[in-house]
Amino acid sequence: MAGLWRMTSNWPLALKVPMLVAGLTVIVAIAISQVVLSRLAREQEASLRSITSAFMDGVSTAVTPGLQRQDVWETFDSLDRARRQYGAVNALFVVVLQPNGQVLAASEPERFPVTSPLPPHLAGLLGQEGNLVLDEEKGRAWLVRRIEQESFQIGTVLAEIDISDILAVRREVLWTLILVNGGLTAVLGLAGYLLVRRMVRPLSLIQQHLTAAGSGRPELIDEDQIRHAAPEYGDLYRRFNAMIRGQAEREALAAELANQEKLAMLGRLASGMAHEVNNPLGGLMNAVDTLEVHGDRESVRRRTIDLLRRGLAGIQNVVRAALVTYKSAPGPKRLTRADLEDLPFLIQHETGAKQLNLDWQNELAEDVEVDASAVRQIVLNLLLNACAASPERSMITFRATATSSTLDISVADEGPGLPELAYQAVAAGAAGAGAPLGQGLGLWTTSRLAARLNATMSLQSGPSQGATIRLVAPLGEEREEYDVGAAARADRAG
Amino acid sequence: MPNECSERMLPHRSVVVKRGDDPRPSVMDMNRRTLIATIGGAVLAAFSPFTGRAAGQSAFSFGLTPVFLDSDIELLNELQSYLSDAMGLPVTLVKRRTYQEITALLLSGELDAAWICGFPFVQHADKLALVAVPLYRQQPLYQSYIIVPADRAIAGWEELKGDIHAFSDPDSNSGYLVTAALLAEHNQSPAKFFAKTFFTYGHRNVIRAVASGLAHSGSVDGYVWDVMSVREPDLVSRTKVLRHSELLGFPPIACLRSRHDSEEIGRLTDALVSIAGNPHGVKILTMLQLDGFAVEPESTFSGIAANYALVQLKGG
Repeated sequence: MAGLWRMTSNWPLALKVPMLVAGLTVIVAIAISQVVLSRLAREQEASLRSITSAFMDGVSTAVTPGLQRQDVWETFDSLDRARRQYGAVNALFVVVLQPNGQVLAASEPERFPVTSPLPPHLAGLLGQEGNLVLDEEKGRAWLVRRIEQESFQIGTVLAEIDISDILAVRREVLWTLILVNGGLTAVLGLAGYLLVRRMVRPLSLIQQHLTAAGSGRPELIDEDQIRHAAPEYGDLYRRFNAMIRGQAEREALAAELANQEKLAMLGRLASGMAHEVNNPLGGLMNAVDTLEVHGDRESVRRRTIDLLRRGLAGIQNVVRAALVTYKSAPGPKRLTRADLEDLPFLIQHETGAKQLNLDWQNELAEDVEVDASAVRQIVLNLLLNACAASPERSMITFRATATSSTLDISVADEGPGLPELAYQAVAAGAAGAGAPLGQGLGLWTTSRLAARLNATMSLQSGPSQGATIRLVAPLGEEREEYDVGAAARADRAG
Repeated sequence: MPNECSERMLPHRSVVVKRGDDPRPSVMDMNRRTLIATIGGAVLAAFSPFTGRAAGQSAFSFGLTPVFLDSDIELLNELQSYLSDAMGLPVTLVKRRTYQEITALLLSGELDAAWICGFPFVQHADKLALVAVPLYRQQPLYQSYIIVPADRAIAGWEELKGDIHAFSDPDSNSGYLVTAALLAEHNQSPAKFFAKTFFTYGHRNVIRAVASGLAHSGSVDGYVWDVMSVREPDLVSRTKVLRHSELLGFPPIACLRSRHDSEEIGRLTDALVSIAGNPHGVKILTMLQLDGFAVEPESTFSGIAANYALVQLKGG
């Protein structure tokens, strides 16, 4: 029972209630049918007993004179007459036996010849004297009556009655009950189904909107539907709409924060880049002055031009990395080893400022099927976070490997470790939820980007071990489309 | 001696007894028979033109077998009416339960005359005299048949040995004596030859017994079988005749030899012999499927007497 309950617990109400109604109807129908049939059977048997008893009384009286004289003809004639008189009894045969068990006469003389013994299968019935023996399978009943005179048995009468008509009536009643009850069950089940479906329709509406919200396309319930809903459902709809609005506001706020964070990061990057460009610029200007003054000297000119080339090449690297990161076309692009190789240029200001050592282990041997732009963004964010968290002269370790199915990237630092807020930010970003208040927006943004790649981000940190952030992304899989601003836009549209 | 001739009226349409949906006449309803006889006699006496005759003049009593009375009230009425008119006497039809009773009443003088069977007639030939003999197919003769079920494959009567055999009456010529004599002729008796015998007390019942399978064979009046084969073909067609006997004297109307010369017997003889010339009489003959009545010599029954003697001799 408990198993059945568990099995059906997740069935929809629109199915469960009609089935329950139908089940109860079936139980009631079976009970009623049982009572009716049982009562009918009792009544029929009583009626049959009464009729056949009267029949046997008549037959016994009619055959007694013949039995007394052992008169074959008179006995037969009496049976023949009795059979016609008691046509309603539907006697198939009546046999009159002498005390020695031989047939004196029978209504079916060819089947029971005069002086023959009773067939064994019928002889067994003689012990049932006075009882009505029924065989419903064969549709037959048998009656045995002893004929006595002055306390002496002078013969026995055995009659076989065809009760198939009675059984047919019983079967007819049974089928009528089955049809009527079956019809009622079907009608009640259907009515229950329609009624319950109508009753739970408001819940279905809520379910549809929740499903849409879960898939990132939340929609408000129409005010007209709220007005026409039952009070309890109307209240539910209003609460749902309030929830959706709150969610949309949080999403918009998070998107705004993320944008601001991005701008802040861009600011830091621009500042670093300016610094990186400015540093060689002094030397370059000196080199230009040197060329102007001593350019006629071959050795000086060559050394100075070489210095200019190296200085300009450094500037060129920084500018190119920025261009690749922020100007590349959106959409998937296969990640190459080179896509990761220029990232150190973008963080060299941070690493230089703190004299950090970068252990760069780019082990990608060939291109991998993953969104290169997103991966570069993630790695850059992680590297910048690591630089920010690292103490001076400490080590930052970058490692990138790939198998046939995954890309595995980790960034480790020797900083103070990750606060609890960082874990919350990663979890919220992975679940598509809004960013937690406070710090951790960079990690939340990174987590959202990782979610786009169907990648998992794992964090490891301790008080003295620094922090390791690992990204494992599946290769070749279609990325989940995720539009951060959808909820906010829907809210504004509604 | 029992009367067999009265059974011959059985084939006629019944107006008295209906058994369910069976239009055939009853032959065994004794209570009804008694009631009808009583009521019938009273009615006939009450409406008779001779009612109120001079005191002391009793009605002419004419005996018939019980089965006859049961079979056809219309025939009884016609016969009583005809005899009364033709004889100029009030006539009372008397029936009793058994052949033996009618024979006993006739012998004791309780009846003036009776339609009996040839077998009782020859048994009591010293006391009984012939009044008239019916003419069947223009002869005062008839046959006894041994019948078997129509679908029984059988070549001769000898194969009946071991049968359950239905006789009509122990005092019947065609329904017992003829077969008993046949067996006696071959040094057999019914008790030894047949596995079991029983009496149906009616020729029609013999046919019913054989047709239903109650009996494997039966001895029956040929006249009854012939007439019934026309009137009740469904029943009779379920049987077939295995053996026809020789022609024997038709059951006669007899009286005590001591009264044979009385005026009343003379009137009865005249009434019977002239029956074919009277419209009522013709109606009666038509019902009985007879051609008339004739005064015949007692030698007409010599065949029956010979059979009787043979059976007596062989102890059958």
